[in-house]
Formats: sequence, structure tokens, C-alpha cells
Amino acid sequence: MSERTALQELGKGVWAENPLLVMVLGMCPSLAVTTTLANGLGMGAAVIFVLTCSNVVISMLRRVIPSAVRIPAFIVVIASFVTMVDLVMEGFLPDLHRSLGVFIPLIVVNCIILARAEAFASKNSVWKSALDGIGMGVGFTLAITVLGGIRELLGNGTLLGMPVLGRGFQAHAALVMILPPGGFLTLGLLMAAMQARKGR
Amino acid sequence: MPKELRYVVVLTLIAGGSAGLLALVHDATREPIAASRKARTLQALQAVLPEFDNVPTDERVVVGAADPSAPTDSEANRLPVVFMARKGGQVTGGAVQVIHPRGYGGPVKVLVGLEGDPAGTVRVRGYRFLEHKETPGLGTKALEPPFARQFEGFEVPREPLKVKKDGGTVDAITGATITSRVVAESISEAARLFREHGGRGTPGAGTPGTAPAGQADPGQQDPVPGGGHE
Repeated sequence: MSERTALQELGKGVWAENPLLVMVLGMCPSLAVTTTLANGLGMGAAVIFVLTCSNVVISMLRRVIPSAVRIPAFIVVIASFVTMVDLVMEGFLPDLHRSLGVFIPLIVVNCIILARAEAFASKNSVWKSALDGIGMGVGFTLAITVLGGIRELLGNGTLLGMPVLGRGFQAHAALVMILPPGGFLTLGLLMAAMQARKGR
Repeated sequence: MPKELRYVVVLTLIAGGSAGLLALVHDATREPIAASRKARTLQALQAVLPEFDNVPTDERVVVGAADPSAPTDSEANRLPVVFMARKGGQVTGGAVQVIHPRGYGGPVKVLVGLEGDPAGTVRVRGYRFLEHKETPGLGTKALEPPFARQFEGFEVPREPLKVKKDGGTVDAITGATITSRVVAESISEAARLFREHGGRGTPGAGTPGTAPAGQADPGQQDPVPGGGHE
């Protein structure tokens, strides 16, 4: 495999096939946890780990798993990695675990992960699947980090909890940005901006 | 091998492998998880309790536990708990874990620190959310100065506290009335439980329902699952 294809495999998830902004997968956790930048980063890291590991394992097992039972097999693999992340995070990063709450266990049903298992890892080599997992995970992380950053900045006047826009702004911050409508607005504008760039 | 059998074998192997791996991770993380949960409770207790020289986690009353002398972990987790603070044997105050069922994002577990004598004046020393799903940056403002300041040293009346919107005296946060209500009602509930159970904080002595007559209003003996005033 030439280096160029490997790079493309990695890069497609970040831009051309970005899971959140282009394929519009995994909307529920993306909108729910992106009220702050830190939440976006934490959620993204968890997704990168789960997506890469499950892609690798599913790709290794792709000739062993009969296609009739592939979906339950994928779900078992994915759920195991999610549970590991949940346990490790609660033990070692309790604050982050508390603020992400139920959305860590819900990574199991995040369609990005099952979609990559079904559409990519079950048909491609381990190496390519790992690259795909990392790329898609990074793309998702970038998207929700930007989303979380914008919402935290406009809705609370802070970034990573530190005041950025000054006290005057904080007193009159646009609360709507932190509430669900602000999530939809920001996501819609981000998607539109991305389409506009791609259209050129 | 017939293909149906293959399905079963493959799925069983995958599930078995996953279970084995998870058992390893669970084992490795059990102690850090238990430690971080305990540390969180202790930290919260230290932050809201007045000076104490006893171990408040050892002098607790789990209100409504099936066996009050040996409450299970799950009971201590989902029922109201009164922790007593003593200095030189004298009660200086207590902290009460209250589960308010109607937060904006579901139930809120609040730890309210109280100062004073269960039989006399009870003042608020501070409060923390132990578990909650309130909106970050909005509902969580209920833990920050402009709102929280009105409860510093606040003498808790015996009648239920209400936010102004409900005809009471508590200033609510703009855009977070529900969370403000949670705090006000939890403080009331905490003070009520402290007054009711505070005199019986020694291990094994806290037996709700078998209190000597006259120690507490019999009408309040029934354990209320947190914040039940309305």
C-alpha cells in the first residue's frame, strides 16, 4: 500500500467524509454534550478509542463472523470497549466522567461506530480499518470540539472554564447557545459553512 | 459444521472473550473507582460541614433503610442520609444528602451542610450537587455566588422554602427556576431530616419509625424520597 492511500484513508474522516458534518451521524451525543469545549474533547477522545479498537477487532474477525450474525457480534465488541472506557474514566477521570454522564455508555448506540464497522471494517484490512477508525474519530472530535467551543464561548463567555469575553459579556451571555436550540443552530451553520467550502 | 451451529459458536466465543477482558478491566479499576467515589463524598462533606473531630461517614442515618443498623451501599446511594458532625462529643451540625426528584435534567442529589442544634436554630453552611444532570453554565449557576450567597448562614425556617415565583422568598436564577427550586426545597428537606434524625446519629441508634414518642412529629416519620414538599 502506498503512503498516499494510507494518508487518504486517515484524512477522509476529517474532511470529505466527516462523520458529523457530512454524514450527519451520531447527532444525539454530539448535541447533548457539546455545551463546553472540555466535554467535546473528552467525548471525542472516548470515541476515537472505541472506534479504533472496534474497527481493528472487527476487521480481524471479519472472515470468522458469519454475515447472518454480524450485527450482534459487532455490538458485543463495541459494547465491551465502551464499558472499558466507562470504567477507566470513572476510576481515573471522575470529574470528566461526571460531566459526560450517561453519554459515555450511550457510545454503544452511536451510529458512527456501527456504521464504520458495517461499512468499512468488515470489508477492509486491519491496517486500513485502524486508519479509518482514527481518522473518523479525529474528524468527529474536531467537529464536536468546535461545536462545544462555540457554544461555551457564546453561551457562557468562557473557554475550558476560563473567562475569555470578560465580565460584561458573561452577565448577558446568550443562554440559548447552551440550550438545545443553540446546539442545532451552531451545527446547522457549521454544516452550511462546510458545504459552501466544498462546493467551490 | 452446520451453519446455525457456527453462528452460535462464533457469537459465544466473541461474548466469552469480551466478558473475560471486561472482568480484567473491572478488577483493575474497582479500587480507583471506589476510592474516587469515597473521596468525592468526603471532600463534599468537608466543604459543607462545620468543624468536626468525629468521622461523619461513620455517624450516619440512612433514612428509610430496611435495616437501619446496616444500610446497604445501594440504600445509602438512593435514600436520604444524615451525616452528623461532632466536636468534643457535642453536635456542631450535620450534612444531609437529599435526592430531589424534579431537577431540570432528572433527579438531583444534593448535599446540604447545616450548622447548629437539631433541637434549636439550624443554619445553612453550604451545599453541593453530588449527582446531577442540570444544564452546564445555566443550572449549575445555582452553585455559584450570586444565587448561593443568599443561603450563606441562612437560618432555615420550619415552613417549606419556596422561590418567589411560587410565592416564597428565594430569588431564583433567571432561566433556571427549576434548579433554583431544587436548591430551595432540598435545603428545607435537609433541615427537616436533620431536626428529625439529628439526635440519633450514633451508629446503630438511628432507627426511623421506632423513635421515642415526642422526639419527632409522628406524622413526619414516613421516609419521604427527598424534596417532597409542594
